[in-house]
Amino acid sequence: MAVDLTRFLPMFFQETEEHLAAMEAHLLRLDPRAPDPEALHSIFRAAHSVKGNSTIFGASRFSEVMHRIETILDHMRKEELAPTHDVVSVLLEACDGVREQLRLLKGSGESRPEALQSVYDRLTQLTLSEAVRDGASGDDATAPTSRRSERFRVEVHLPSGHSITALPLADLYAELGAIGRVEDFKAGDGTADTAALSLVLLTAETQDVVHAKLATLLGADRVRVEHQKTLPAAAAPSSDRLPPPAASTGTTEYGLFVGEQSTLDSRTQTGDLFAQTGVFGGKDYGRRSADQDPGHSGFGRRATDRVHLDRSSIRVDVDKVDRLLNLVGELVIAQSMLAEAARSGPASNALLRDSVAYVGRQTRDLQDAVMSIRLLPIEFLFSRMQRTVRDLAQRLGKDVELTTQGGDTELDKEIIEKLADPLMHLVRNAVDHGIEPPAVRAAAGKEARGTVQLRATHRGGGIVVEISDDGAGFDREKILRKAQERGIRVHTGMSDEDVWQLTFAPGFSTADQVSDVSGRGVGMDVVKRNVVALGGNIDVYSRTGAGTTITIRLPLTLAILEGMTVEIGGESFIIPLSFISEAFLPRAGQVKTIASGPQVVRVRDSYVPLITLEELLHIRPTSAGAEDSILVMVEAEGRHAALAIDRLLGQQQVVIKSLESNYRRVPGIAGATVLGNGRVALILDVNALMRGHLIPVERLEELEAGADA
Amino acid sequence: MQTPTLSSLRTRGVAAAPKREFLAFRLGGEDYAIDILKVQEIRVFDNITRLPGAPDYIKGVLNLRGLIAPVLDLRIKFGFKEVEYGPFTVLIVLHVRDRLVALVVDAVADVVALSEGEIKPPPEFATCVNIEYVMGLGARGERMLILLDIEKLISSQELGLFDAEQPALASDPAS
Repeated sequence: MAVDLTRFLPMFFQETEEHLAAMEAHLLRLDPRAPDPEALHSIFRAAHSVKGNSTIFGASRFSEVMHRIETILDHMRKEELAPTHDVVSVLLEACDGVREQLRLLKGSGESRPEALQSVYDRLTQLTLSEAVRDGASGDDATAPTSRRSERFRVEVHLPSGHSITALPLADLYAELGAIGRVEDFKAGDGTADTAALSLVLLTAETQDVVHAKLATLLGADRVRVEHQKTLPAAAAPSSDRLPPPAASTGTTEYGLFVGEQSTLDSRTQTGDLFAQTGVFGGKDYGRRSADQDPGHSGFGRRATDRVHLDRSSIRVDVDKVDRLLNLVGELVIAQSMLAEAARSGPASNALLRDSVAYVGRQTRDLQDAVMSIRLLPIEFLFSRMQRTVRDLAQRLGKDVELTTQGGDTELDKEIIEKLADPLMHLVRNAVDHGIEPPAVRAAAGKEARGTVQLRATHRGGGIVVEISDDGAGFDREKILRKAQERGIRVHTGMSDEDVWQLTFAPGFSTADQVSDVSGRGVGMDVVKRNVVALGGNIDVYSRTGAGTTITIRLPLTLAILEGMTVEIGGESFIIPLSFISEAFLPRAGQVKTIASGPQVVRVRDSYVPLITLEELLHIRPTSAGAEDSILVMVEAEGRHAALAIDRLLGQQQVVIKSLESNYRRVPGIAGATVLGNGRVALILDVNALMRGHLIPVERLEELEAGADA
Repeated sequence: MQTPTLSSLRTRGVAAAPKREFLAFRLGGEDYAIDILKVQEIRVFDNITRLPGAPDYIKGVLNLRGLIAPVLDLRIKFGFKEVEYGPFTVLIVLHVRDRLVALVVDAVADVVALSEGEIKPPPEFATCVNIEYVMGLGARGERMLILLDIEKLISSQELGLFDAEQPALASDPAS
């Protein structure tokens, strides 16, 4: 009857991560003065779920940490504790700690649960200090009264010549009385090598807390707090360890997945437990859905930022969705073949034509619906940025607020995942380099609190994500200077837009990023490359002194691409439209061959390399030479090139298919798609084609000089 | 232990020994056969898109209900003199190691059931096929059948159908 729990581990990981993310999102939104009871409730529920699940899997450390969080949340709900900045910080840290352990477990199957000790202690401290003040112990099994006290030796040292009468003794006694019980109080003999005061304190507080409390009274350098080692077992410092888990499975081991009873290998025990709770985490779910507003459980409903965290959903393997997408794609092709047949058939059959048209509409709706399964609200990404901004601002001593707009805008899951790093980079840049320190802002007549705004909107079949700040903006002079240092050709008369574009140049300002304060552009080329790889593009607008806005345009999904179908050597190829700037028929003499062999095309005032797919892909074009072909101008990574093709067949949306799932990566080819006639067409990897086709700058300069003359 | 499997029930005449079924096909003048359980379907040779930079025995790729599968012409790989694409040229779509691969063959002949005893060890003499990929010889009437270990062949480094696996490269014996 033993249930193999390992089967459910991926689910456990995923659920725990989701709960942690939900906790974090709610925590970041808590208003310290008036916390939203519903939000507190949500955090509590999430913590409770993690606790329950962790117990099932024998991850008792997680349960213990979550139990502490629950206790703290409980205090908050009873308004005994305010979610101040510090309190929230500890809670966030706890989430991070658990997440980190989860990551380790997932990766190597091993974790270092002892790493959670310090955050656990701080959580404990929070519950204690609060409970002591209120005199409330509650029903909590691990509440302060049950925590084992320990003895500390406290010594107060004074510089020679000072008398203990100079100390605020009355306050000291009062403080000590509040923390614990004083034993063995001794006044020193007044010499410099012995303590002026020495006492033994029996307390439930940790060493750090005792020290901190006394230090505020007496001065940090005068107080020494040590574990009392001379006393026997009763005062042994073992109480510094975690107490047995509250929702204990009877185990005395605290390690994750280790220990005799909580180990996954002894499945009967955990298996029974599993059976008792019914389905995985079942008891928590019942409660969760009961608490949920039924109005928000529908799929596809536009939800407000907060609600979607609780929205009900099912978890489906992405492969299943992709399979569905494939089948629908095939249906679309079948439908177009049917439509073709109906058109070319006997003209009298109007009913058939109508039916086919009807099927066509339904098919497209179906395709849209299936596509939308892969879409997720971008809020998932935005809420992570809250944390980044908060932590970074704190570290830099800045006051920064992150506001978000359009978090419910939906994007392909894969794009969201791949956008995370670039967006994080830009947000960090905005806080680090954009927003000035409060004093500077005040001097510039701005509000001391800087604002970073994240905005997502639908625009023309795609998504636009904007990161704007009201900081210092780019420093034009500095960018120009740096560009020059990097050997980029600049001149002082360049328009601002062109100057801002320089920050995207490969390698721009990566070298001295530490000392770099005003000139941004740290790794902007990497950001741009990532965005372009997603089929998007990025733009920057900045006004010195007023702030910077970075605009990222992205396709809705990676599964579909807007492409130009072209014919080369009798085969159809797709060129992603986002790379194409224009197409034209070359005039005589416009194509030149430079000495070593490569061909170039003169376009307006510059020369660009000509890429013939013949040599790269071993496909022979039907046209006799480049001058008989159509040239398609493409742009990638800031470089231009011309592709020679035989025919333009038209623009269409194509569903991207992988070649790798059944074959292998093919150089120069980004993927494949199925055309309306059922044939496979390959999608050109413009980036890769251009990388193999660089013309040295000096050669181009030579040519340009020649052309000018 | 011999519970009859579906495939053994399908064989004509219930034999005492369990039989394996093979799909026999013709490549050039020779008869080959592969384990029928690896075969997904048989299709006409049509609508193949050439793949740039691929070796000559990869004819291109094919759309199989939305999945893109490579088309492999073993006749070229095996170095046959005459390679023709006629009305009987068909594609055998294989499902091997979770991948789809289409095989160009001159004609599909028959399904042959062979018991273990009827399968002879591979010959010592050289055939067009590397002996490594031959799992044995069988007979169909008067003709000799070369039983291909198609999975081994398809996933061989030699064909390069799969991206080279990293661990295999890393564990090159250095000593």
